[in-house]
Amino acid sequence: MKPDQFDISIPGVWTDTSEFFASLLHEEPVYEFPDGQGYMISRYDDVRNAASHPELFSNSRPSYGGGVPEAEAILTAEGFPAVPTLSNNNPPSHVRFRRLVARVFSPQVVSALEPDIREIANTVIDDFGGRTEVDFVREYTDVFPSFVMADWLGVPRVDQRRFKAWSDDMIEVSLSPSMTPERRVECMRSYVDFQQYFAAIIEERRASPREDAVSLLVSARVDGERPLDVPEILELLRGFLIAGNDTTTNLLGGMMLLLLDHPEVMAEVRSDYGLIPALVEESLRFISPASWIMRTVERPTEVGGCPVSAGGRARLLLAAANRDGAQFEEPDVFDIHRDPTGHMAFGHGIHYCIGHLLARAEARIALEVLFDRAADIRLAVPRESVRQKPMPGVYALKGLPVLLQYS
Amino acid sequence: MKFVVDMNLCDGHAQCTYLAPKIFEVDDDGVLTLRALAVGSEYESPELDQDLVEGVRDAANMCPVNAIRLVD
Repeated sequence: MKPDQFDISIPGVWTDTSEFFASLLHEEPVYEFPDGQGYMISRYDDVRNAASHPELFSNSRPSYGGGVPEAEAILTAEGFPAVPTLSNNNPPSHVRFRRLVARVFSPQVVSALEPDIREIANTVIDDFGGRTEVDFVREYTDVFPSFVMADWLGVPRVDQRRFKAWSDDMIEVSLSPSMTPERRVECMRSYVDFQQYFAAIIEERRASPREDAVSLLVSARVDGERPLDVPEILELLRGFLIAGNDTTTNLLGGMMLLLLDHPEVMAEVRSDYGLIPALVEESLRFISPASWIMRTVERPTEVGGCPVSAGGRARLLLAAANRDGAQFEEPDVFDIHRDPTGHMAFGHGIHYCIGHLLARAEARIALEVLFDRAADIRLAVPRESVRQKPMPGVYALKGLPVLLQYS
Repeated sequence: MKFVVDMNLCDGHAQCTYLAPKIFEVDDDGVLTLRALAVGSEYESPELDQDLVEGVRDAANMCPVNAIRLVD
Protein backbone atom coordinates (compact mmCIF):
# COMPACT_ATOMS: atom_id res chain seq x y z
CA MET A 1 0.00 0.00 0.00
CA LYS A 2 1.20 3.51 -0.82
CA PRO A 3 1.43 6.09 1.99
CA ASP A 4 -1.40 8.08 0.34
CA GLN A 5 -3.77 5.18 0.90
CA PHE A 6 -3.52 5.42 4.69
CA ASP A 7 -6.06 7.78 6.20
CA ILE A 8 -4.02 9.42 8.93
CA SER A 9 -7.07 11.24 10.27
CA ILE A 10 -8.46 7.98 11.67
CA PRO A 11 -7.09 6.69 14.98
CA GLY A 12 -6.59 3.16 13.57
CA VAL A 13 -3.44 4.19 11.72
CA TRP A 14 -1.89 5.35 14.99
CA THR A 15 -2.88 2.34 17.09
CA ASP A 16 -0.64 0.23 14.88
CA THR A 17 1.83 2.25 12.90
CA SER A 18 3.93 -0.63 11.61
CA GLU A 19 2.30 -0.86 8.17
CA PHE A 20 2.16 2.88 7.65
CA PHE A 21 5.81 3.38 8.62
CA ALA A 22 6.89 0.41 6.49
CA SER A 23 4.99 1.85 3.55
CA LEU A 24 6.74 5.20 3.99
CA LEU A 25 10.16 3.56 4.25
CA HIS A 26 9.72 1.27 1.26
CA GLU A 27 7.41 3.25 -1.03
CA GLU A 28 8.12 6.95 -0.42
CA PRO A 29 11.01 7.50 1.96
CA VAL A 30 10.66 11.25 1.52
CA TYR A 31 6.91 11.72 1.70
CA GLU A 32 5.13 15.05 1.47
CA PHE A 33 1.65 15.28 2.98
CA PRO A 34 -0.82 16.46 0.36
CA ASP A 35 -2.33 19.10 2.69
CA GLY A 36 0.83 21.06 3.42
CA GLN A 37 1.48 19.37 6.76
CA GLY A 38 5.08 18.82 5.81
CA TYR A 39 7.33 15.84 5.25
CA MET A 40 7.96 12.36 6.63
CA ILE A 41 11.60 11.25 6.21
CA SER A 42 12.16 7.54 6.80
CA ARG A 43 15.47 6.14 5.61
CA TYR A 44 18.22 5.67 8.19
CA ASP A 45 20.81 7.65 6.23
CA ASP A 46 18.41 10.49 5.44
CA VAL A 47 17.19 10.79 9.04
CA ARG A 48 20.72 10.72 10.35
CA ASN A 49 21.88 13.27 7.83
CA ALA A 50 19.01 15.66 8.55
CA ALA A 51 19.55 15.31 12.31
CA SER A 52 23.24 16.12 11.76
CA HIS A 53 22.46 19.43 10.06
CA PRO A 54 20.64 21.72 12.49
CA GLU A 55 21.39 24.66 10.21
CA LEU A 56 19.16 23.05 7.56
CA PHE A 57 16.71 21.19 9.80
CA SER A 58 16.22 23.42 12.81
CA ASN A 59 14.36 23.04 16.09
CA SER A 60 12.43 26.29 15.78
CA ARG A 61 8.96 25.62 17.16
CA PRO A 62 5.53 27.17 17.31
CA SER A 63 4.65 28.69 20.70
CA TYR A 64 3.27 26.64 23.56
CA GLY A 65 -0.12 28.38 23.45
CA GLY A 66 -0.71 27.02 19.95
CA GLY A 67 -2.20 30.30 18.75
CA VAL A 68 -5.22 30.14 21.11
CA PRO A 69 -5.44 33.74 22.43
CA GLU A 70 -7.11 32.81 25.73
CA ALA A 71 -4.39 30.25 26.46
CA GLU A 72 -1.64 32.74 25.56
CA ALA A 73 -3.29 35.34 27.81
CA ILE A 74 -3.21 33.02 30.84
CA LEU A 75 0.51 32.49 30.39
CA THR A 76 1.17 36.22 30.00
CA ALA A 77 -0.92 37.21 33.02
CA GLU A 78 -0.07 34.48 35.51
CA GLY A 79 2.88 32.49 34.25
CA PHE A 80 6.42 32.87 33.01
CA PRO A 81 7.23 33.41 29.33
CA ALA A 82 8.25 30.48 27.13
CA VAL A 83 11.88 30.83 26.09
CA PRO A 84 14.07 28.72 23.79
CA THR A 85 16.38 26.37 25.70
CA LEU A 86 17.20 22.85 24.44
CA SER A 87 14.77 20.96 22.24
CA ASN A 88 13.16 24.20 21.01
CA ASN A 89 16.46 25.93 20.30
CA ASN A 90 19.32 26.05 17.80
CA PRO A 91 23.06 26.73 17.88
CA PRO A 92 24.74 28.86 19.05
CA SER A 93 22.28 29.52 21.91
CA HIS A 94 21.50 25.80 22.28
CA VAL A 95 25.13 25.11 23.15
CA ARG A 96 24.96 27.28 26.28
CA PHE A 97 22.00 25.32 27.65
CA ARG A 98 23.47 21.96 26.75
CA ARG A 99 26.63 22.87 28.69
CA LEU A 100 24.67 24.07 31.70
CA VAL A 101 22.33 21.08 31.76
CA ALA A 102 24.79 18.26 30.97
CA ARG A 103 25.67 17.86 34.64
CA VAL A 104 22.05 17.20 35.61
CA PHE A 105 22.14 13.86 33.75
CA SER A 106 25.86 13.05 33.90
CA PRO A 107 27.14 9.49 34.37
CA GLN A 108 28.05 10.36 37.99
CA VAL A 109 24.54 11.65 38.72
CA VAL A 110 22.87 8.61 37.18
CA SER A 111 25.07 6.14 39.11
CA ALA A 112 24.34 8.00 42.31
CA LEU A 113 20.60 7.82 41.62
CA GLU A 114 20.56 4.04 41.16
CA PRO A 115 19.73 3.09 44.77
CA ASP A 116 16.90 5.61 44.74
CA ILE A 117 15.57 4.28 41.42
CA ARG A 118 15.66 0.75 42.83
CA GLU A 119 13.80 1.82 45.95
CA ILE A 120 11.11 3.55 43.89
CA ALA A 121 10.61 0.43 41.75
CA ASN A 122 10.20 -1.63 44.91
CA THR A 123 7.75 0.87 46.42
CA VAL A 124 5.60 0.80 43.29
CA ILE A 125 5.50 -3.01 43.43
CA ASP A 126 4.65 -2.84 47.16
CA ASP A 127 1.65 -0.74 46.12
CA PHE A 128 0.29 -3.71 44.14
CA GLY A 129 -0.60 -5.01 47.60
CA GLY A 130 0.13 -8.59 46.65
CA ARG A 131 -2.56 -8.69 43.93
CA THR A 132 -1.72 -11.28 41.28
CA GLU A 133 -3.38 -9.40 38.41
CA VAL A 134 -2.00 -5.92 37.79
CA ASP A 135 -1.89 -3.60 34.83
CA PHE A 136 1.82 -3.41 34.12
CA VAL A 137 1.41 -0.16 32.17
CA ARG A 138 -1.07 1.71 34.35
CA GLU A 139 0.29 0.57 37.69
CA TYR A 140 4.03 0.21 37.06
CA THR A 141 5.44 1.95 34.01
CA ASP A 142 3.03 4.89 34.13
CA VAL A 143 4.14 5.95 37.57
CA PHE A 144 7.70 4.71 38.00
CA PRO A 145 9.55 7.14 35.65
CA SER A 146 7.58 10.13 36.87
CA PHE A 147 8.41 9.28 40.51
CA VAL A 148 12.09 8.97 39.59
CA MET A 149 12.04 12.34 37.85
CA ALA A 150 10.02 13.99 40.63
CA ASP A 151 12.47 12.74 43.26
CA TRP A 152 15.46 13.97 41.29
CA LEU A 153 13.84 17.37 40.77
CA GLY A 154 13.20 17.61 44.50
CA VAL A 155 9.41 17.26 44.54
CA PRO A 156 8.20 15.86 47.87
CA ARG A 157 6.46 12.48 47.53
CA VAL A 158 3.11 13.93 48.65
CA ASP A 159 3.05 16.15 45.56
CA GLN A 160 4.06 13.50 43.06
CA ARG A 161 0.57 12.70 41.78
CA ARG A 162 0.15 16.39 40.94
CA PHE A 163 3.49 16.28 39.22
CA LYS A 164 2.35 13.33 37.11
CA ALA A 165 -0.83 15.19 36.08
CA TRP A 166 1.19 18.25 34.96
CA SER A 167 3.43 15.99 32.98
CA ASP A 168 0.47 14.25 31.28
CA ASP A 169 -1.09 17.59 30.32
CA MET A 170 2.17 18.87 28.82
CA ILE A 171 2.59 15.71 26.81
CA GLU A 172 -0.93 16.02 25.48
CA VAL A 173 -0.18 19.58 24.32
CA SER A 174 3.00 18.56 22.58
CA LEU A 175 1.44 15.53 20.87
CA SER A 176 -2.02 16.78 19.99
CA PRO A 177 -1.67 19.93 17.90
CA SER A 178 -5.37 19.76 17.02
CA MET A 179 -6.73 19.76 20.60
CA THR A 180 -9.84 21.84 21.29
CA PRO A 181 -9.33 25.44 22.46
CA GLU A 182 -11.10 24.55 25.75
CA ARG A 183 -8.71 21.69 26.44
CA ARG A 184 -5.76 23.86 25.49
CA VAL A 185 -6.86 26.48 28.02
CA GLU A 186 -7.15 23.77 30.70
CA CYS A 187 -3.66 22.52 29.88
CA MET A 188 -2.32 26.07 30.02
CA ARG A 189 -3.78 26.50 33.52
CA SER A 190 -2.13 23.26 34.53
CA TYR A 191 1.15 24.51 33.03
CA VAL A 192 0.94 27.79 34.95
CA ASP A 193 0.23 25.82 38.12
CA PHE A 194 3.40 23.80 37.41
CA GLN A 195 5.39 27.00 36.78
CA GLN A 196 4.30 28.61 40.03
CA TYR A 197 5.03 25.45 42.01
CA PHE A 198 8.55 25.14 40.60
CA ALA A 199 9.28 28.89 40.73
CA ALA A 200 8.87 28.54 44.52
CA ILE A 201 11.20 25.50 44.60
CA ILE A 202 13.77 27.40 42.50
CA GLU A 203 13.77 30.28 45.01
CA GLU A 204 14.10 27.83 47.92
CA ARG A 205 17.05 26.05 46.32
CA ARG A 206 18.78 29.34 45.57
CA ALA A 207 18.65 30.13 49.28
CA SER A 208 19.53 26.63 50.48
CA PRO A 209 20.76 24.18 47.85
CA ARG A 210 20.18 20.44 48.22
CA GLU A 211 21.30 17.38 46.31
CA ASP A 212 18.80 17.62 43.49
CA ALA A 213 18.44 18.71 39.89
CA VAL A 214 16.90 22.12 40.59
CA SER A 215 19.82 22.95 42.90
CA LEU A 216 22.27 21.98 40.14
CA LEU A 217 20.40 24.17 37.66
CA VAL A 218 20.28 27.27 39.89
CA SER A 219 23.97 26.96 40.65
CA ALA A 220 25.07 26.06 37.09
CA ARG A 221 27.76 28.45 35.84
CA VAL A 222 29.79 28.54 32.68
CA ASP A 223 32.63 31.05 32.82
CA GLY A 224 31.69 34.50 31.64
CA GLU A 225 28.04 33.61 31.05
CA ARG A 226 25.08 34.56 33.20
CA PRO A 227 23.39 31.83 35.24
CA LEU A 228 20.03 30.38 34.24
CA ASP A 229 17.04 32.53 35.13
CA VAL A 230 13.62 31.34 36.33
CA PRO A 231 11.85 31.18 32.92
CA GLU A 232 14.81 29.28 31.48
CA ILE A 233 14.83 26.75 34.31
CA LEU A 234 11.05 26.29 34.05
CA GLU A 235 11.32 25.64 30.33
CA LEU A 236 14.10 23.11 30.93
CA LEU A 237 11.97 21.35 33.54
CA ARG A 238 9.06 21.22 31.10
CA GLY A 239 11.43 19.58 28.64
CA PHE A 240 12.55 16.99 31.21
CA LEU A 241 8.94 16.08 31.95
CA ILE A 242 7.88 15.76 28.32
CA ALA A 243 11.00 13.99 27.13
CA GLY A 244 11.66 11.92 30.23
CA ASN A 245 8.43 10.60 31.68
CA ASP A 246 6.23 9.31 28.93
CA THR A 247 9.02 8.01 26.68
CA THR A 248 10.44 5.87 29.49
CA THR A 249 6.94 4.64 30.37
CA ASN A 250 6.46 3.61 26.75
CA LEU A 251 9.83 1.92 26.47
CA LEU A 252 9.11 -0.16 29.57
CA GLY A 253 5.63 -1.16 28.44
CA GLY A 254 6.83 -2.09 24.96
CA MET A 255 9.79 -4.01 26.35
CA MET A 256 7.54 -6.07 28.64
CA LEU A 257 5.22 -6.86 25.72
CA LEU A 258 8.22 -8.02 23.68
CA LEU A 259 9.25 -10.30 26.56
CA LEU A 260 5.73 -11.72 26.84
CA ASP A 261 5.76 -12.31 23.07
CA HIS A 262 9.19 -13.98 23.31
CA PRO A 263 9.14 -16.22 26.41
CA GLU A 264 12.49 -17.70 25.44
CA VAL A 265 14.06 -14.23 25.72
CA MET A 266 12.30 -13.66 29.05
CA ALA A 267 13.79 -16.91 30.38
CA GLU A 268 17.21 -16.02 29.03
CA VAL A 269 17.45 -12.55 30.59
CA ARG A 270 15.94 -13.80 33.86
CA SER A 271 18.74 -16.34 34.15
CA ASP A 272 21.40 -13.74 33.28
CA TYR A 273 20.73 -10.11 34.26
CA GLY A 274 23.94 -9.24 32.41
CA LEU A 275 21.87 -9.51 29.21
CA ILE A 276 19.40 -6.81 30.28
CA PRO A 277 21.39 -3.90 28.80
CA ALA A 278 21.42 -5.68 25.41
CA LEU A 279 17.69 -6.31 25.76
CA VAL A 280 17.15 -2.61 26.50
CA GLU A 281 19.15 -1.51 23.43
CA GLU A 282 17.37 -3.88 21.07
CA SER A 283 14.02 -2.86 22.57
CA LEU A 284 14.88 0.79 22.01
CA ARG A 285 15.64 0.06 18.37
CA PHE A 286 12.64 -2.17 17.89
CA ILE A 287 10.05 0.00 19.67
CA SER A 288 11.38 3.55 19.15
CA PRO A 289 9.20 5.07 21.91
CA ALA A 290 9.41 8.46 20.18
CA SER A 291 8.35 7.68 16.60
CA TRP A 292 9.78 10.87 15.18
CA ILE A 293 11.50 14.14 15.92
CA MET A 294 10.17 17.33 14.38
CA ARG A 295 12.32 19.78 12.48
CA THR A 296 11.72 22.96 10.45
CA VAL A 297 13.31 23.18 7.01
CA GLU A 298 15.36 26.37 7.11
CA ARG A 299 16.16 26.71 3.42
CA PRO A 300 15.40 24.78 0.25
CA THR A 301 17.45 21.61 0.17
CA GLU A 302 17.12 18.02 -0.84
CA VAL A 303 16.80 14.76 1.01
CA GLY A 304 17.70 11.52 -0.72
CA GLY A 305 17.39 13.30 -4.07
CA CYS A 306 13.95 14.82 -3.30
CA PRO A 307 13.56 18.58 -2.97
CA VAL A 308 12.09 19.91 0.29
CA SER A 309 10.97 23.51 0.64
CA ALA A 310 11.89 26.11 3.20
CA GLY A 311 9.45 26.53 6.08
CA GLY A 312 8.19 22.96 5.79
CA ARG A 313 7.84 20.82 8.89
CA ALA A 314 9.89 17.65 8.59
CA ARG A 315 9.25 14.60 10.75
CA LEU A 316 12.38 12.49 10.99
CA LEU A 317 10.99 8.99 11.49
CA LEU A 318 13.23 7.38 14.07
CA ALA A 319 10.88 4.38 14.16
CA ALA A 320 11.24 3.78 10.40
CA ALA A 321 14.98 4.47 10.33
CA ASN A 322 15.46 1.90 13.10
CA ARG A 323 13.80 -0.68 10.83
CA ASP A 324 15.78 0.21 7.71
CA GLY A 325 17.25 -2.96 6.20
CA ALA A 326 20.09 -0.94 4.68
CA GLN A 327 21.31 -0.34 8.24
CA PHE A 328 20.07 -3.32 10.26
CA GLU A 329 20.03 -6.88 8.96
CA GLU A 330 16.58 -8.46 9.18
CA PRO A 331 15.33 -5.25 10.78
CA ASP A 332 11.90 -6.60 11.75
CA VAL A 333 13.36 -9.45 13.77
CA PHE A 334 13.68 -8.80 17.52
CA ASP A 335 17.06 -10.20 18.48
CA ILE A 336 18.82 -9.21 21.69
CA HIS A 337 22.06 -10.72 20.39
CA ARG A 338 22.37 -8.39 17.42
CA ASP A 339 24.51 -5.26 17.60
CA PRO A 340 21.99 -2.38 17.40
CA THR A 341 24.69 0.30 17.86
CA GLY A 342 23.79 3.45 16.00
CA HIS A 343 20.04 3.02 16.51
CA MET A 344 18.28 6.34 16.65
CA ALA A 345 15.73 5.81 19.41
CA PHE A 346 17.34 8.73 21.30
CA GLY A 347 17.68 10.82 18.16
CA HIS A 348 20.99 11.81 16.68
CA GLY A 349 23.32 14.80 16.70
CA ILE A 350 23.32 17.83 18.96
CA HIS A 351 19.82 17.14 20.30
CA TYR A 352 20.61 13.51 21.17
CA CYS A 353 18.56 12.77 24.29
CA ILE A 354 20.35 14.41 27.21
CA GLY A 355 18.73 11.95 29.65
CA HIS A 356 19.61 8.74 27.80
CA LEU A 357 21.72 7.36 30.66
CA LEU A 358 18.89 7.89 33.12
CA ALA A 359 16.39 6.25 30.75
CA ARG A 360 18.68 3.27 30.23
CA ALA A 361 19.27 2.90 33.97
CA GLU A 362 15.53 3.12 34.71
CA ALA A 363 14.72 0.47 32.11
CA ARG A 364 17.37 -1.90 33.43
CA ILE A 365 16.49 -1.43 37.09
CA ALA A 366 12.73 -1.64 36.49
CA LEU A 367 13.24 -5.11 35.04
CA GLU A 368 15.79 -6.30 37.59
CA VAL A 369 13.49 -5.37 40.46
CA LEU A 370 10.43 -6.88 38.82
CA PHE A 371 12.29 -10.13 38.07
CA ASP A 372 13.47 -10.26 41.70
CA ARG A 373 9.96 -9.79 43.02
CA ALA A 374 7.95 -11.89 40.57
CA ALA A 375 9.01 -15.43 39.70
CA ASP A 376 6.59 -15.61 36.81
CA ILE A 377 4.96 -12.98 34.62
CA ARG A 378 2.37 -13.74 31.98
CA LEU A 379 -0.25 -11.93 29.97
CA ALA A 380 -3.65 -11.82 31.70
CA VAL A 381 -5.70 -11.06 28.59
CA PRO A 382 -5.82 -12.31 24.99
CA ARG A 383 -2.85 -10.93 23.04
CA GLU A 384 -5.06 -9.16 20.48
CA SER A 385 -6.69 -7.03 23.18
CA VAL A 386 -3.37 -5.31 23.95
CA ARG A 387 -3.62 -2.04 22.03
CA GLN A 388 -1.69 1.16 21.51
CA LYS A 389 -3.08 4.58 22.26
CA PRO A 390 -4.03 6.41 19.03
CA MET A 391 -1.40 9.07 19.62
CA PRO A 392 0.58 10.20 16.59
CA GLY A 393 4.30 10.34 17.28
CA VAL A 394 4.59 7.91 20.17
CA TYR A 395 4.47 4.19 20.74
CA ALA A 396 2.27 3.92 23.84
CA LEU A 397 0.37 0.92 25.14
CA LYS A 398 -3.07 1.63 26.59
CA GLY A 399 -2.62 -1.06 29.18
CA LEU A 400 -0.91 -4.40 29.75
CA PRO A 401 -2.73 -6.63 32.26
CA VAL A 402 -0.37 -9.29 33.57
CA LEU A 403 -0.52 -12.14 36.08
CA LEU A 404 2.28 -12.12 38.61
CA GLN A 405 3.46 -14.99 40.70
CA TYR A 406 5.42 -13.42 43.54
CA SER A 407 8.74 -14.87 44.65
CA MET B 1 47.41 17.58 28.58
CA LYS B 2 46.22 15.55 25.58
CA PHE B 3 42.94 13.96 24.63
CA VAL B 4 41.95 10.61 23.18
CA VAL B 5 38.89 9.78 21.07
CA ASP B 6 37.64 6.20 21.04
CA MET B 7 36.50 5.76 17.44
CA ASN B 8 34.54 2.62 18.36
CA LEU B 9 32.32 4.85 20.48
CA CYS B 10 32.24 8.01 18.35
CA ASP B 11 28.97 8.11 16.44
CA GLY B 12 29.24 11.57 14.92
CA HIS B 13 26.77 13.45 17.15
CA ALA B 14 29.05 16.47 16.67
CA GLN B 15 28.35 18.04 20.05
CA CYS B 16 32.13 18.54 20.36
CA THR B 17 32.27 20.64 17.19
CA TYR B 18 30.31 23.38 18.95
CA LEU B 19 32.37 23.24 22.14
CA ALA B 20 35.87 23.08 20.69
CA PRO B 21 35.46 24.06 17.04
CA LYS B 22 39.20 24.60 16.58
CA ILE B 23 39.75 20.92 17.23
CA PHE B 24 36.67 18.93 16.31
CA GLU B 25 35.08 18.99 12.91
CA VAL B 26 32.81 16.62 11.04
CA ASP B 27 32.77 16.18 7.28
CA ASP B 28 29.67 16.34 5.08
CA ASP B 29 28.86 12.74 5.93
CA GLY B 30 28.89 13.50 9.66
CA VAL B 31 32.18 11.68 10.23
CA LEU B 32 34.66 13.18 12.70
CA THR B 33 37.62 14.30 10.60
CA LEU B 34 40.04 13.11 13.30
CA ARG B 35 38.94 9.56 12.45
CA ALA B 36 41.30 9.63 9.45
CA LEU B 37 44.19 10.19 11.86
CA ALA B 38 43.26 7.41 14.27
CA VAL B 39 45.66 4.57 14.94
CA GLY B 40 43.62 1.42 15.40
CA SER B 41 40.40 2.46 17.10
CA GLU B 42 41.87 5.49 18.88
CA TYR B 43 42.94 8.96 18.01
CA GLU B 44 45.47 10.49 20.41
CA SER B 45 46.07 14.22 20.14
CA PRO B 46 49.40 16.03 20.43
CA GLU B 47 49.97 18.07 23.62
CA LEU B 48 47.18 20.68 23.82
CA ASP B 49 47.76 24.41 24.04
CA GLN B 50 46.52 25.62 27.42
CA ASP B 51 43.80 27.82 25.88
CA LEU B 52 42.22 24.79 24.20
CA VAL B 53 42.02 22.56 27.27
CA GLU B 54 38.78 24.02 28.63
CA GLY B 55 36.89 23.49 25.37
CA VAL B 56 38.10 19.90 25.07
CA ARG B 57 37.13 19.27 28.70
CA ASP B 58 33.62 20.57 27.91
CA ALA B 59 33.49 18.35 24.84
CA ALA B 60 34.57 15.33 26.89
CA ASN B 61 31.95 16.06 29.56
CA MET B 62 29.18 16.48 27.05
CA CYS B 63 29.90 13.82 24.47
CA PRO B 64 26.69 11.79 24.45
CA VAL B 65 28.60 8.52 24.09
CA ASN B 66 31.62 9.41 26.27
CA ALA B 67 34.04 8.88 23.41
CA ILE B 68 36.45 11.65 24.44
CA ARG B 69 38.77 11.60 27.44
CA LEU B 70 41.55 13.87 28.64
CA VAL B 71 44.90 12.32 29.53
CA ASP B 72 47.91 13.87 31.27
